Order: sequence, then C-alpha cells, then structure tokens
Amino acid sequence: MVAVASGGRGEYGRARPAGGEAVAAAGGVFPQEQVSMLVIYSIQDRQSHRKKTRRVNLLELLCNFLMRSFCLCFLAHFCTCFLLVLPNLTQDFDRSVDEDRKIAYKAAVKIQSWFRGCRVRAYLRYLNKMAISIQKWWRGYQSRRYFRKMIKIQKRWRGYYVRKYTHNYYALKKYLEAISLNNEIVRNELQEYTEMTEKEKKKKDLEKKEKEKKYKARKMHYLLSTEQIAGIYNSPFRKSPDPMELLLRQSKPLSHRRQQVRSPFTYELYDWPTCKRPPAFATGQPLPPIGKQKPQGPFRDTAEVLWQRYKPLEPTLRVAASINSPLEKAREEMKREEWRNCIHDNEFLPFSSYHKNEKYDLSIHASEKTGQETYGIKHFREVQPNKWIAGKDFQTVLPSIVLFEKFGKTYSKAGQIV
Amino acid sequence: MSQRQVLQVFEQYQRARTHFVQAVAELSARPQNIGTLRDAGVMSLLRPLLLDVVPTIQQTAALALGRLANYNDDLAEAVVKGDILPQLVCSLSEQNRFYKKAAAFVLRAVGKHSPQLAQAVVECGALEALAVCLEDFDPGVKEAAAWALGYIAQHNAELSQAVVDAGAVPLLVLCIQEPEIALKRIAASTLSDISKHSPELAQTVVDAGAIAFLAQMILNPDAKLKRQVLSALSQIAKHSVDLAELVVEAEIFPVVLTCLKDSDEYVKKNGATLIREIAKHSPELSQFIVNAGGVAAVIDCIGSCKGTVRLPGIMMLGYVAAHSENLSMAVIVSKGIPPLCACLIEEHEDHIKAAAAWALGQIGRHTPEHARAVAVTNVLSTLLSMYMDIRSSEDLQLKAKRALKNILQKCTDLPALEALLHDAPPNIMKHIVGQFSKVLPHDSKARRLFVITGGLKKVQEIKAEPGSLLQEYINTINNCFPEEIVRYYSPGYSEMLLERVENYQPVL
Repeated sequence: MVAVASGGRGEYGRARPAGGEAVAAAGGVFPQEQVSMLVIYSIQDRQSHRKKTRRVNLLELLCNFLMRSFCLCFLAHFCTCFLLVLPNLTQDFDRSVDEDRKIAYKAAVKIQSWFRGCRVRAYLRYLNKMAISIQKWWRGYQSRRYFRKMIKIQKRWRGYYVRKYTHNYYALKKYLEAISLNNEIVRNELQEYTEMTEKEKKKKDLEKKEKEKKYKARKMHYLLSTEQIAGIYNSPFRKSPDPMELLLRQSKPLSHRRQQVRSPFTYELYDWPTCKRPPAFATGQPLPPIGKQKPQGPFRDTAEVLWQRYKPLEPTLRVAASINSPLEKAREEMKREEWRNCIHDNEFLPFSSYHKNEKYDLSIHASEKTGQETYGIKHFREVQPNKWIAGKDFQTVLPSIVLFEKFGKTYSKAGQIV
Repeated sequence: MSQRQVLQVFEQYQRARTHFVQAVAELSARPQNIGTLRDAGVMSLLRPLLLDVVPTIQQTAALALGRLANYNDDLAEAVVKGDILPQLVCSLSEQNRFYKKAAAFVLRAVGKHSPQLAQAVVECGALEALAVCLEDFDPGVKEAAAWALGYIAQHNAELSQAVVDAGAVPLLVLCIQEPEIALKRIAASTLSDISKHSPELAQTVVDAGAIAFLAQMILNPDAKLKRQVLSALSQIAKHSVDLAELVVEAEIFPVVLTCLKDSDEYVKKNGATLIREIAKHSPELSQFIVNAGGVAAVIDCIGSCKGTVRLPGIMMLGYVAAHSENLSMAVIVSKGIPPLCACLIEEHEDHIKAAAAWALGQIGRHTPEHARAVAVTNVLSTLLSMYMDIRSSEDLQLKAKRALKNILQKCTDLPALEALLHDAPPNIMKHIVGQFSKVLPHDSKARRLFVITGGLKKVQEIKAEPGSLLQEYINTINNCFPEEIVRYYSPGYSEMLLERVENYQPVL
C-alpha cells in the first residue's frame, strides 16, 4: 500500500504502471476489495502529496489495519517486497532520493518496531497466561487439600446428624412397631364391633321369629290338646310334648276382631317416590264385607247361642238374700269378733291349783312316729281286725260308674310331666 | 228427572276418566305394557287429563306420565316435546302435596336420562319451583323434590351450577337434618351429585355447613344412608388438599373404619373410596391415616371382599405407599402385601389386577428392603406372566411392566431374581441381569449359588447386541467368574470340545 501511496507522488502516467505493479504484487497477496480501498486512498492523496504528516498518518492507519487483518508472516513478506520494490520507484522522481529513502527507512523502522512490539506483546501475553494457569492450578490444589481436611469433619458431622435425626433407624423401628401395635388394637376393636352388630342382628332376628311363633300359636289355639283328645303336638308316642304344645298352653286365644283399616297414608311416605303402590286416596269409610256364607243345617243363629252361653247369673231374691235374719247375722258377727280378738287361750279359772295336774300334750312332731302319716295315703279308715265278724270284704251290689272307673287310667303316664 | 239424567251423564264420564287414568297408571308400572301404551297414543290422551277438574284425576295422570317417562328416554322426550313441563311447573307451586309429589316425580323421570333433557327441564324454570318444594312441610314432597334435583345435577357441572344458583344447597342441608331416613338418603345423594363435578361446587356445599351433618350420620345404622353419606364425603374430599383436610377435621377418623366392617358391600366400598380420596393428596394426610390404623382396616376390608368392591382399597394402599418409603414400610408392616398378591391372582377383571400390580410397584420401588418384602411373596413371576400374557389388556401389561421394572431396579434378593431369569423378555432381562451384575461381584456365596442353580448357564445363553447395556452387564458377570467355568457354560462348548477331540493328534 505504501508503494501505491508513494506512486501517487509522481507523474500520473509513469506512476501508474509502477503503482500497478505494486498493486499487482500486492493484489496477489491481499484481497481485492482492500486493495481497491487503498487505491481510493492513494488517489485522494495525490492532491495533497506534500502533507507528510498525512502520509505518515496514513501509514500508521495502514499498519494498524494490517495488524488487525493479516498474519505477521504476510506482513513480513510484504515488508520485504516493499523494500525490494521501493528503490525502483524512487529512481523516477526529481526530488532527492535521500529524502525519500530516509522517509522510507523511518517508515520501515516504524513498521518493524511495531511488528516486533506486537510479537513481544504476544509472547508476554502467552507467558502471562501460562503463569496464570500454573498459579491457578496450584491455588486450587492448596485449597482442595485444605478442603479435604475440612470434609473429614463435616462428613462425620453430617453422618451423625442424618443418622440421628433424619433417617433415625431406631426411631423408624419404634414407629413401625407402634404402628403394628396400633393396627392390632384397631383390628381387635373392629372385630368386637362386628361381633356386636352381628349379635344384635341375630337377636333381632330371633325376636322376630319368636313373635311370629307366638302369633301363630295364638291364631291356632284350637290345636291345643284336651283331657280326652290329644292334640297333634302331643302325640302319645312322644316322650314329652312338642314345644308348640307348650306354647299353645301358654298363649291366649286370638279374638276375632276385624283387622284395623290401615291408613292409606302410612305407606305413602315410603313407597310413593318409587310409586310401586297405587295411591290410595282417601275414599271415606271402607265398605262393609259382603255377607259371609252361613253354615248349612238347622243351626241356631250364632249370636243367639253366644248370648245364651255367656248369659250372666241372675240369682233369685231368696238366693241373693241370706237365710238368717239380721239378728242372727249380728250375733254371728259378735262371735267372730270375739274369737278374733281373743289372744289368751287359757280361761281364767278361780282356783290356782287347777292347772297343776294338767297332762302335758306332746307336740305333733314329738307324738307321732317319724315318716309320713299313713292315714290318708295307705288307709282311710281305722281298722280293728278283732271286731271283724267275717274274713271277707264287702260285696258290691250296685254296678260302679264306668266313667269313674277310668279315672287315672285313660291316658298313659306319658301325659304327666315328670 | 232430566236433571238427574244429565248429572248421571257427567258422573259416568268422570267415572270413566278416573278408571282410565288409574288403569293407565297401573299398567305403566309394568315395563312390558309401555310399548303398547305408547303405540296407543297414551301421551296425547294423558295431557288434557293433567288439567282436569278433579284433583285425583290430575294426580293420577301425573303419576302415569311419570312412570312412562321413567321407562326410557324416547317417552321422556315426548313429554318434553308435548309442552307438558311448563304446566307441571306452574301447578307445582299451587296444588296440594300429592300433586306436588307426582309432578316432581315426572320432572325427575324426564331429567334422569340425558343432559339435554335435564337442560330442557331447567329451561322450564323447574329449579326454582323445586327449591320452593324443598321448604314444604311434607317430607314426601321434600324427598321428591330433592330426588329430582339430584338427577338433574348428576349430569354435568353447568347443570349442577344451575341447581346451586337456585339456592338449593342450604335447603338440602336442612333436609339432611330431618328425622325421616328416606329424606336423609336422598338429600345426601343429591349433595354428592352436586359436589362431584368441580372444586367450586364442592366448596359451595362445604360452605353451607354440610360436612358436620354428614359426619354425624356416619354412625347411623341404616346401610343405604351410610352409602350415600360416604359417597358425598368422598366427592367433596377428592378435589383438593384443603377440602380433604376439612373433611378430616370433622373427626371422621376412627368412626369411618367401622364402616369398613359393615355387612353391606357398598358401604365398605364407599368407605374405602373416602379413605382413598383423602390419602391420595399429600403425605401428611396419608401419615395421619396410617397413625389412625386406617391401613390395617383397609387391608382387612380387601381381604374380606371380592370383585370391584376391593378396588378403592387397593388404590388407597398404592397411594399411601407412593408418598414415601416410611409409609410404604408401614404398609408392609401392616401385612399389606399378601392380600394384594391374592387379589392379583384371584381376580378376573383386568382393571383390578392392574390396580393391584400398580400398588405392588409403588410399595416395592423405594429401597432394597421394600423390594425384598415384595419379592419373597413370589409375586414377581405372576407379574411377569401377566406382562407376557397376550390376553391381558394393554393397561394391565403396561402397569405390570412398570411395576416389575420399579421393583427389579431395587431388588437384591437373588433367589427371586433367579426365578425370573428363565422366561423374561429382553427389556426386563436387562434389569435382572443388571441387578445380578451389581450383587455378584461382592458376594462369593451368591456366586456359587448362581452357578449351581443354572443362572450362569442362562446368562451365557442370552444374546445381546455388543455395546448395549445388557452386554455390559453380561460382561461384568462373566468377569466375576473364572474363565473355565464361563467357557464351560457357554453354548456350543460341547461341540467345541468334540471338535478338539476330532482334531487331536494322539501322542503315540
């Protein structure tokens, strides 16, 4: 570029081929647009070729530009090219060659010094970087050593802390044991609860069954066995009567009451939403039942019969009134009162020695022999065989009553409950 | 005379109408008659009878319409199209309680089939009228109105919101406090239907103070009531942590466990659902349930039921175990694994098996201890067979595979792993072999056992691509053993030996 710039100083016609040469030489080395930029600079410079400072400034600019864009070797190459090219260019000028040479020499020195400076600076930078990296590594190593010492303590502490508080094994074990205990308790309680509910349900069921049975017994009270005819639940072949028989004995017969008319609203609340039953809207009194079938045959009216059967007693005046007159009644009354109020049995007697020779009456327990009294059980009458005339028993003349003969003999002993 | 005759004609007509309407009402109670009734054009005949002078005819006509609409949705649509609903709604406010009940029944029957029909009911302005009915004295009317509202609200969130906007929720909470059991049931079921759609609706129900009353009713002996109450509480609790905490604060906890022992299956199921919805939100809630002994109760419940009733209980165990390893260990300590294994084997439905597989995976995935607890029950081979079975649904296969992977990655129990070695597919084999490669280098007895049980042989037979993870594991295992034995077990060794015999030059 310097060659081009200096080429601008001379005649236009002659400068150009040299400039062109330099440009051609330079063009082989540098990219085309930069070369054209520099050509523009040189054309501008032709008008002000006397301004050395400007040329020097331009040189500086160009050097900077070079330094930024290209490698140092290219620059070195260029400088040598320049030095070769330069003497050829200055030959054509009228000015003193020496001046030009001085200027060129100074310029070369400047460039070289600049270049060397750059190289040294680069080298220094490189050294700096190396020193830094060594120091870096060393410092890191030192602190890591220190850190390893620190870690040993922290390691111990962290292990202790975690084992004691965060993942405390023993606390966890205790917790799990507590959970199992708790589970056992809960399971037991729930088991008890289920058993209780089951028992209650069973009880309810049993009670319901009992109620049903009792109702049935009351309804079928006519199946009870009588003295003469054994009922179906009291078969003579059984050892003991059926439980139903016992129930029948205990229950009161169900009266023939007409069943109460259930209010049509009672099941509405339950069944209305599902509308399973048709709505029984209030229709007033229920109709009377259609006439029952009368039993066939010459029977009296049942109402009449019942009236007669359950007619209360109507005693006559004679019966109702007592035989004795009121006087008799009063006397009786007095006597009763006396007897009632008498406390002391022994009469008052005038002579004090009356009681002295009294025979002492033994009490019943002392006077009788031990055991049961035979009278009433073994015999009913006093027997005195020495007064008997004949040795035979009485003869029966009249026939006994057949029915009374059967007393105690109709049924088997099974009828009696042991 | 003539007047009497005239009146007689009218009487006859009235009697005829009454008879007709009662007969239709009775016939419509049986499903097989409904087709014939519809073809005979019963709808158009019943419609004018709704406006009849005699109240009983009106009520019976409404009842008949309700039964018809109840049967299927075509008839319900016919009711809607016939413009009957606005009339019913108007008279809902005026008439006596029987008519109100019948009208509410019709609205319920129409609204239950589909969201569009429910929307039609809402558009007639039925909601306000029904809300007014909820304040009536008669419990039957309240019940009918609550039931209708429940069926409308069950379809989707907008309809629920409409019901809430009509101001029904405070009235329903009042209904719950009434003494009649049927009314309580229906009110609880309606609250459950309202709160199931979204957290805001659930919050509205909570704000009306429903939780306290529902919690009290858990102790009631009636089984159907308990079902509805538990369902309502679980719908409230399922939406968010705050709602679940509110439900827990109502002190349901030891009491709910008694529901798990009830004789009614659905009470057990709903109770388990409630506990599941609470447990799934956060580890603290699960911890609370575990501390209250809930896990034991749920495990017993699973053991005593069959079928879909078990499903919420299984999921609850999975959720609890998923939160943390301590909770998972608590589930193991409460003897949770045997019922889950039994479920896996016995159940027929795939979705229940999938849930059981998932739950086992959650239990076993935390540490080797957990994995061992799962593996000793020999459930891994069941999981593997489920994964490999082509008849299992995709969901089941996926869950079984994931569970297997999670458990195997932590399992160090060699006998269990060996059982799987023989028929596992390559993607599972990778994990099994990986586990072996981690354990065998350190345990000489295990190595001996490995050789004896034929594991080494099996490993040699595995074909793996060079450079894959499986190959690396195989190499690690092979490096644990002396070379001779590895060569001895490698396939084709006998041929190789025979070849050597062939090529051997006898030394003479």
